[in-house]
Amino acid sequence: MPTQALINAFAERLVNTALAEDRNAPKRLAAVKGKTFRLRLDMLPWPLTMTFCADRVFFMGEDYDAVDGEVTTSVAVLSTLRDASQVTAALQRGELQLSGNPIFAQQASQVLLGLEIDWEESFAKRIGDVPGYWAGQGLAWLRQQRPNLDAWQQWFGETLSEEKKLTVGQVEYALFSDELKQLAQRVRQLEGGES
Amino acid sequence: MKDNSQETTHFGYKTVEKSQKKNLVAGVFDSVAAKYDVMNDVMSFGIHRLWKRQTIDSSAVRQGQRVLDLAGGTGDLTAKFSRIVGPQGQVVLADINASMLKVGRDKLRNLGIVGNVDYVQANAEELPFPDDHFDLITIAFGLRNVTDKDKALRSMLRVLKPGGRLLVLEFSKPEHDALNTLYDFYSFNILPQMGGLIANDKESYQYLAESIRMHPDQETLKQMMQDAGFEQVTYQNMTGGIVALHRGFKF
Ligand SMILES: C[S@@+](CC[C@H](N)C(=O)[O-])C[C@H]1O[C@@H](n2cnc3c(N)ncnc32)[C@H](O)[C@@H]1O
Repeated sequence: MPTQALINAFAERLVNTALAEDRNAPKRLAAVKGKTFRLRLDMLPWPLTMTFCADRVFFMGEDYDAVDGEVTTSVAVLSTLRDASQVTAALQRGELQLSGNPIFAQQASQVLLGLEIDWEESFAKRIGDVPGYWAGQGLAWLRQQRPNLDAWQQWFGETLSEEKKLTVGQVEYALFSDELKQLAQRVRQLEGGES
Repeated sequence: MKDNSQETTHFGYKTVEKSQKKNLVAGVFDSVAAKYDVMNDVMSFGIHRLWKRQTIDSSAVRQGQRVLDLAGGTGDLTAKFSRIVGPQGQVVLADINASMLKVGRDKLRNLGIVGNVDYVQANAEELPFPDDHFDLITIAFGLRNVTDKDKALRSMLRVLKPGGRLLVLEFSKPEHDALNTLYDFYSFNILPQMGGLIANDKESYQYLAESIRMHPDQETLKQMMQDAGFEQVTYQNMTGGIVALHRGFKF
């Protein structure tokens, strides 16, 4: 437990420092405020659990059990997600699992993936130029590894319209089965009348 | 000593009149209030922050809920709860000691935490809140200072909503003898010295060390919670049992 709590504390500090530097962060946070997102990655010994507040993120431990949405996948899969069809394919192959509202999953990942700050400069302000440079380089590398945001957006767009189609289909089906039931009833009445 | 007299209780290792304990405890916290946060970090090497994190993880607290941070002192837990429950929620920071409450209130205000936090001076044994009022109650490093713990636990049960949970974070009994010995040495030799050095208050920290030893161990506290009416009571040891987090529900 202490290692996990320690790393969470560190991550929380890092991410909230970054969010404070990002002018657009409050907007992204507003969309998910009060909710908790969990990411399970094969590489991580425990899930990443983030509770969003108006101006910051809390990193919770795995015991926190009031979670609103969850994505389970592997780093390998995550870094191949370059376009929407790959997201769908990963879902179909079971390499990516999603629970909760897909829009929430997208908005939650945006909080971190959408970070737009000059890392090198903000680290330099805090920890001095040289370490700041190295920290900035490290983060630049990390950012290259992140999945393509556009791909996600496209995928969510498509999924949502597919979901709509699905809903229409369900309504049609329900109407159809009602009609069927009525028909069956009429047939029974007719049969009854005859006998 | 405990059972055949209703009139006495522990104050650290000393046996004192029950009616006296409240004032003695008040004296301790009056005297440590100003330096409390610094001492907490120094004494526990900062680990108390991790213990408190674990407490939040076990709380399942969420937006819009009503939380009681009992014996909340300088408000570490309240600060986090306040942000999580948001403007629709409410956090009550309750403490018997006005000096601790004041330090807490000033600290939280400086952190920009206003709006959904109320400060209430209250004794855990007689909580001044309606029945079925809170979704969550936490009492962190507070229960061992309370004179009548059973009464306090029943009072917490009363103000908790059905389905709500109580979390008790408290020093407990280390699981291994070696750790126990080391910990004893630390508590009785190093801790009061540090208290003397940093807070200029050796006696208070001597009391803290003693009160930790007199506090019920894991299983005893679990039983006490069950006797008070809590259900599904479990506990989790942290840092080798130096601290334990007990959790119980009201149904
Ligand atoms: C060691 S401090 C803990 C403060 C805070 N919860 C923390 O973890 O940092 C213990 C607190 O319990 C309070 N306290 C002691 N007896 C109490 C009682 N009977 N009712 C309410 N609070 C009490 C003290 O005033 C003090 O602020």
